[in-house]
Amino acid sequence: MNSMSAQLAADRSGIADYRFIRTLGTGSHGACYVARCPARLRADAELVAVKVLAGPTTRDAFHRAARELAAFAAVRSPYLVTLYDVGQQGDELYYSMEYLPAGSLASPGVPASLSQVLAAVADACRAAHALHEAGVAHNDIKPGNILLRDGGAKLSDLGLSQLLSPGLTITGRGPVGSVEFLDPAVIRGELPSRATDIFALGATLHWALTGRGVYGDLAAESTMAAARRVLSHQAAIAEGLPPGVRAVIEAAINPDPAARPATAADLAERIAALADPVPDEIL
Amino acid sequence: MSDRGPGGHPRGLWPVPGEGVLARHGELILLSSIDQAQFADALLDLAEQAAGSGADGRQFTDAVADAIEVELVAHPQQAGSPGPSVLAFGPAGSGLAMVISGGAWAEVTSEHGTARLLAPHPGMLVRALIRSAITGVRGGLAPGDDDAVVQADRFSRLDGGLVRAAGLTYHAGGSRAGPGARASGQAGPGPARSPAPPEPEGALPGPEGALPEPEGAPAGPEGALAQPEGAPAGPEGALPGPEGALAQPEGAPAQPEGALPGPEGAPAQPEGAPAQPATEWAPTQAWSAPLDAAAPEEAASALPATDREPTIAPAPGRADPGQEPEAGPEPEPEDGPEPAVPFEAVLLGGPGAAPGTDLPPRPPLPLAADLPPGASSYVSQAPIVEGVYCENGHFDDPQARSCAVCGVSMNQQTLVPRPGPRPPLGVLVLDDGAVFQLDGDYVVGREPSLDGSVASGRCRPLRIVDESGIVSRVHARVHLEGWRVLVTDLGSANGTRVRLPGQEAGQPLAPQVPVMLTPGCVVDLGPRGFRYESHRGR
Ligand SMILES: Nc1ncnc2c1ncn2[C@@H]1O[C@H](COP(=O)(O)OP(=O)(O)OP(=O)(O)O)[C@@H](O)[C@H]1O
Ligand SMILES: [Mg+2]
Repeated sequence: MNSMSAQLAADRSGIADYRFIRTLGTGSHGACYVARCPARLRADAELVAVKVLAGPTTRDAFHRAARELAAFAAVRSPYLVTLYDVGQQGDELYYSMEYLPAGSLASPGVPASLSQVLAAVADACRAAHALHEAGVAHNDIKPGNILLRDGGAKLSDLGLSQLLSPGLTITGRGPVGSVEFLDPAVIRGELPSRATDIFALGATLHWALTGRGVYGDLAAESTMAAARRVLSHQAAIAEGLPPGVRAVIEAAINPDPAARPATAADLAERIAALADPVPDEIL
Repeated sequence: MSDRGPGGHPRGLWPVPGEGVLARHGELILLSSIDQAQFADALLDLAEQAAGSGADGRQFTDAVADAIEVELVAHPQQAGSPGPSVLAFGPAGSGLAMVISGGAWAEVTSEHGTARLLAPHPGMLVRALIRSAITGVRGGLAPGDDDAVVQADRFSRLDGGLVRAAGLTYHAGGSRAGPGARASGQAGPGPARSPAPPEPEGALPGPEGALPEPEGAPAGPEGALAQPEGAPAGPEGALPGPEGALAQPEGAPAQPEGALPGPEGAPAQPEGAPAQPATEWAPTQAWSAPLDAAAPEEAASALPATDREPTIAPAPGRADPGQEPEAGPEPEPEDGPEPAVPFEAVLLGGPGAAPGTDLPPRPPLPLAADLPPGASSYVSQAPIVEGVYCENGHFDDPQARSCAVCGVSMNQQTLVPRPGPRPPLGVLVLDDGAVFQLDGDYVVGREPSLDGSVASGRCRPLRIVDESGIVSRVHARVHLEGWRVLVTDLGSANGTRVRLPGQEAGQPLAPQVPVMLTPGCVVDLGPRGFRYESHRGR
């Protein structure tokens, strides 16, 4: 019944008091739409993005998700997407957020330059750091959740799969997308942490610069095969990256969490430093 | 129409004894915790003032929400301790406006069923606007004190003033409009009402009497209020009717009331008949903080998933009570008799941030370097099992030859088994790529929640979509026993097979007989299946 409706992304016209204008795409948690901003939000925006999660959601799960999203929303950072509301209608859960029309790092509206990529990932690191300082792990950092804007990016979404379906670490929905950015430790059952988000940031940077994940090209694989590949292989960095970039990624995805940059802010600095190398002649 | 109170009273408000205070001023009802006595006093004053100034439920709950917000900002709660628990409600339009905070909860019943409302987090505040006529409200100050409410004392109905109470049962009574203008939904707003007044009226003189006044006087505001509720002027028009009608029954002050009904009621009636029913039915629309005039309407029209309607409800700005009722365009009629689907929402950040969404701050996440080595933060509540620690501090199966985490050999050492929290024993990888971690038991099937063990919370549901229906609704269970992973067919219609890695065909399982899985085993449930993956046993 309702579980199907979320999958029929293109067919629906709205949820709650949101009227959808068009579909943005489907992801590992559900589908995203552009909608008109209902007046009740009192938001200074004409359009909002609304995410409708796939599958039925229980009341408990709704409450858990609302709590987590409220914790996200309470973090004040210019690098985090602003959330408006979270709601449940019937057994469907949705949440709404600011709409960023420039697309994500996964599918930029216009191809992103190297410096744009570095700036975007550095911003995502800063966003993650703000979350971490507020006691929240993101747990779904990947190119599709880094939304571009002038000169940088904002981090969106949260990994909610565990909250919605206890025990579920990879949803198996949507593009293979999520698996290859998730620290395998999380797949094995460790709690998401600073270090696991830092892994994801490193893997994201790798993908954005090379077009490949740290487990190779999983695009052709079935989702099951991709999940198995990630569980049974070590992450590895593609050849041909400049040494400085390689070193940063290597550190971020180090199998030993204690060997990764201690905080996402540290990683942001290292990435930012790649973007503007100090010109030799000035020194 | 079971409009009878606990003791067979037709309508009224009954306190549930306990720590807290229940106040009633006319139709404005407030239940509050009293551990923050000053704040409770402030709320009680506020309720009294609101009633005195003729506020309706929307204005009243607005004020209560504001007060809670101010309180939360002024006295931020310590982590873990909820803010004041408050449940307040009163009539708004033909329905009811409500605010809930802290650990309070409410169960609101209309002819469409019962909805339970509570804050997702004690630090949050939930506001609801129920547009359909309600027949009753039950509520309490602490989640889980549900049963206590049943114990509403039938001999202590509260018609006005305040008493000590930790919960309440409120029956709107037959055709009462106030909170439960349920008649309004039906064809003849005015007329339908009349029957009601008779009995309950007599009973409730106190409160009822109170109402009329406020209502009568601020006839203007009423109109305004109604409007927000029903964005669509149409319905609005209709609403007042009921209000008026109600008032009448309320009867005591037939006079002032009479005044209202006249103007408003008149037009309402005609319109009401057609448009109203549909909208009225919007069962419970709840969202937090700013109750927007337009919202309900929009919701109503947007919701019916089945009939898409291009119309966008005009978004009238947030109509402040008291604002003049602009006759909004009304998408209403178009919705026809389709009942709107209720939704509930909590405002998060942004300009309209809900008061009280401030959660107790969480401590920053620990730095990886600060975590003790090997102490991976496994999901809490892991059961305690006997195991051994490898030289790197990882907790393992005593039978294992090497550590499941770091691979270090465990042969040479004579390790004494010790109790410790069991780490996840691997993962189940579904054929669609979904991964479930084995730190708990699962019931697998098309409708696993039908199984008692899922309902009781002992097992998690692992829901599998299978259009062919070959997979049973409750098909198999995967459970952990010590360091072993077992699968049991739960009497599925088409059976379960277990395939060892590399095998072509699997072994069929006898129903109800647990079989141990080793890493790499595939469990076939007909067209779907999953695989058990683990570093353990490698
Ligand atoms: N706030 C937003 N503004 C603009 N585009 C967005 C917004 N949120 C999501 N999108 C886009 O909509 C599409 C679907 O997003 P969605 O979040 O559903 O999938 P995802 O990010 O791939 O997966 P996940 O569910 O793990 O977040 C993506 O292309 C994403 O970039
Ligand atoms: Mg996303």
